[in-house]
Amino acid sequence: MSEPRPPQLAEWLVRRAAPAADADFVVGDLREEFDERLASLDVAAARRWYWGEVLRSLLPLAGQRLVSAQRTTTPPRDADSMWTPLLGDARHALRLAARNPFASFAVVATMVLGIGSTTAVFSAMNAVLLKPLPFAESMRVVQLRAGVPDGRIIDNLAYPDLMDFRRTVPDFSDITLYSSGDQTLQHGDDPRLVHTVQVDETYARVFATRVALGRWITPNDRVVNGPKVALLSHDFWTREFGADRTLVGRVITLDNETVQVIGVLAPKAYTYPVPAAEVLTPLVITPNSPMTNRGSLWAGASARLKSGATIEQAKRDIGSAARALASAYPASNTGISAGVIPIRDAVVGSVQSMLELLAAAVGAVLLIACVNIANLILGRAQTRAREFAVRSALGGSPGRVRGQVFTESLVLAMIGGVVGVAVAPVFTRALIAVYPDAMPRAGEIGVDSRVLLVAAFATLLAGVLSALPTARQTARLDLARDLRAGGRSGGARRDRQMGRALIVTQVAASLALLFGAGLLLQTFWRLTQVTPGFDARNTTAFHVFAPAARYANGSKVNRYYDDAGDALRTIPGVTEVATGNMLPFVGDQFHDTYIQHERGDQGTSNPRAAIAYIAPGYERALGLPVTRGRGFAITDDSASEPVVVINEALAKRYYAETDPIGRVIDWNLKSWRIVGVVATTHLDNLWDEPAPVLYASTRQTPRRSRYFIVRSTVPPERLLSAARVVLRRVDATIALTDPATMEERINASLGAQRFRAALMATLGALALVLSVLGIYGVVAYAVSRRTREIGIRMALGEAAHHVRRSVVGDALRVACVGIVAGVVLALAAGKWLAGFLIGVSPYDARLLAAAAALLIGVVTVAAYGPARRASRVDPVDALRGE
Amino acid sequence: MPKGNFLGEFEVLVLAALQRLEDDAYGVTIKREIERRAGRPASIGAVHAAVDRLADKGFVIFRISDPLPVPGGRARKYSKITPAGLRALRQSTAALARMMDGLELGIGR
Repeated sequence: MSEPRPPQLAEWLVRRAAPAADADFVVGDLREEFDERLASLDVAAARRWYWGEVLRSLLPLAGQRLVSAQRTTTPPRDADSMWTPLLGDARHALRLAARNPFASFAVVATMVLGIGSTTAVFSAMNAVLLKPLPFAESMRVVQLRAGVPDGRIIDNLAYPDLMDFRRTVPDFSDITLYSSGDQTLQHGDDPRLVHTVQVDETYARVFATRVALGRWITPNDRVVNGPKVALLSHDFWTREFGADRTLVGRVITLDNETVQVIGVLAPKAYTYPVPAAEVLTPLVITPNSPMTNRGSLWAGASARLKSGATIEQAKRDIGSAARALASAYPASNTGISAGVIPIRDAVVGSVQSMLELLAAAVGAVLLIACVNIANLILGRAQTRAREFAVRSALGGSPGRVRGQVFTESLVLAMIGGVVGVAVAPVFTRALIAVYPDAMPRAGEIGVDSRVLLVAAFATLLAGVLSALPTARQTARLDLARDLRAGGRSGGARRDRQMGRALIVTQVAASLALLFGAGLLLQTFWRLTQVTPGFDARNTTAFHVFAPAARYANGSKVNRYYDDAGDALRTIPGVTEVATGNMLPFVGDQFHDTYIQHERGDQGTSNPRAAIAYIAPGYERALGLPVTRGRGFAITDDSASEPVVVINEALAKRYYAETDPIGRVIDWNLKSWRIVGVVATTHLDNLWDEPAPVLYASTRQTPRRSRYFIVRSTVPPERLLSAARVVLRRVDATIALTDPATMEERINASLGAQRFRAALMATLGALALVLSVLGIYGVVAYAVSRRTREIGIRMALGEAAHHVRRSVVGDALRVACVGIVAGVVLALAAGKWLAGFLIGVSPYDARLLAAAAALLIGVVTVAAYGPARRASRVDPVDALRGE
Repeated sequence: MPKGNFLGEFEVLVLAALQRLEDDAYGVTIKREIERRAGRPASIGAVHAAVDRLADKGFVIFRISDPLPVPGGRARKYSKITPAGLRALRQSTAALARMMDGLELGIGR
């Protein structure tokens, strides 16, 4: 084993901070002490010590580095000066900051917020969007996708088509097929669900999978009815089996079948399409089954590009290969296209737009923060105009004076930046915690050199931006005037211009943020007003699976579900229990086409619907109104006529003029009679047009995998623990999984909207608060500069309310310019947000007017305080003050 | 006395450590000597910055050792106090001693 090394980031930092000639010696000394500490401490403690030592060393070293850099470029002006002008300025800045602790704290806190959140968002973007996926040459791996006749793009393809692509598409070195699912592991006391991916032998070549122990899958493992084998992930093997090396070759129980463990994956091996699959099993293709039908799109597929092949070329080649298949097999492949996308895009998906939105909003807040700081620094510089003038008079060049302004602002920004980077992980964790679903690649988020670079850049930018107005002003010093005035007046016109620019910027940026937040809040609010089509209150649903090894045929499966249902009904408070393989707001739907008996085969325009297999009582348990006919009865069984129930959406689309009850359809090799119509429900979310659904009874077509829907007055947690107890009595080997109330499921479907709305509302509120502070500061400052003028006007008989009105009016006039600029900005933001909006126009004039009115109100309030103070100016004091 | 001859407190400690360590004064040993005798923490970075500063004033000279005879062995930067450094150290400590002479810093008065 190699020697533990000191933390590389720390070493890198100290190397950068130290004078170039000293870097090797400093690092060497640190290494020497580190190695000695390793002898007595554990590695973690030694690394902690190293970090502490480095952090204590940075400041002295950086100071010395600046001095020696200065010495080599310019000879010291006199032998006594030990500190270069820059360091002198920095010390001066720190002294000033300490003398003015409140203002300095405000500046640094604003910087910490701004830079911290910018760094946090960038570190997320860096990990999620910029870094390649963590396996060898992942940039050369693509995922295959299919376009289906109704225009959707899906991730699954047909097995025979993929076999043809392996022969006909020249761009790939390998195409791998896989299918993912969950299996129940029996190990220890409670059965539990594990994520499984079924893969073929080429998977390891595409995803650069390495095996730590045992062997990889061979074609022999994939023969039909061969011995069952599995590979375990390193993490799962450690967690569940205590990293027992003798496990390889032994058997485990998955879905009630004994499976031999043939190997363990390397630590952190990447699995796809499930990011942290626990088990990989060989993908077994059963000949002459639905798996080998050309029309059945079930297999996930990814491919590795040959060297020299490009994604564009691969897209073209696989597209033409799919067209060739469509003309060769029109019955199954008409309208089926194929394409590829980079695997990273497939993994990251919708997060990209979310993070971009976040980055823009955080950027706007950082800008507002900078404007505030600029204003604070400007205000402070005004009171120091005399100091600057003295410095200039004593021979300080304008460049030197400007340099001092920048140094002061940069010192504060740097403190803010260092603390900001330190707190960024806290922001990042909060972001991941509130993110709807699991953020892909969240585990990879961290601070690396690229993140540090961006943070440094943000710090520099914030420091320079904040100092810019002041530096511009000091560059135009009027010595005689400033010395004479001693910081009382002077540069009034320029002051006002600067103050106006600050107000305009803040009002404009705040308006855009508020408008964006308003659009997203409105979208969210509208969705919460949509009814799902069933009564979601007091219903809880969970999943169970009756495996073939214990329940060999359909009637045995149904008997299990009957017994389990009876057991659940014994729980006090439970009123209805039913099962179904598909529930609204749960998982994906399976869609199929059928033939309307009275119209005959219409080819590609045959009706198409989502298929749900449900048990009698489903509509009562789910609170789904039966609008015509009846629901399924227990007597609709395998001995009686096959019957189906449809939803209103299907009735409206295909039986617009006739009564569907009693009509017959041909589907699944049988004829079925429609006996009832139920209300339409939303299936995946509350915004898409609800799909037509065809319901079949589990009594006539049993399903192994189902959800229980339980309507009860019992609180969900109590119900679930009681359900676990009674179900264990029916069959202790079956796991109860994915439990949640229907209300929770609907809420979860709104997660992305809620996240965006809450985020923008938070940032909008932050922007508003910062703007209030900033505008207050600008107006208060302007008023204090006009004390003399106001005093004279009042001495000449101007009424107090006139003074107030003129101060507030001035601020409002400037704010109006900001609002005009803000409207332009807001409309651009709205257009950019359009993809996130549902039922809300991105040009919502009323909302825009409301945001503008809010800002006018805010500006009025912010300006009123200083205006009141101005109107109380005692003319005598004001004039004597001169 | 020229102003440049004033020594900071830490610089006094470093010079004293150099004098004690004679030919074995480099980052690690100087740091350790100060921590052990003066009982105050000193970081490697502060030590290096201080000896560089003292060298600028002509109080310290450097000698770079040959790389240590082990794999990956590194060179060390040894510091040695110069006669001017010794003079400055004496002046500083003498000034301190004169200032403290007769001064009682008892506790609990």
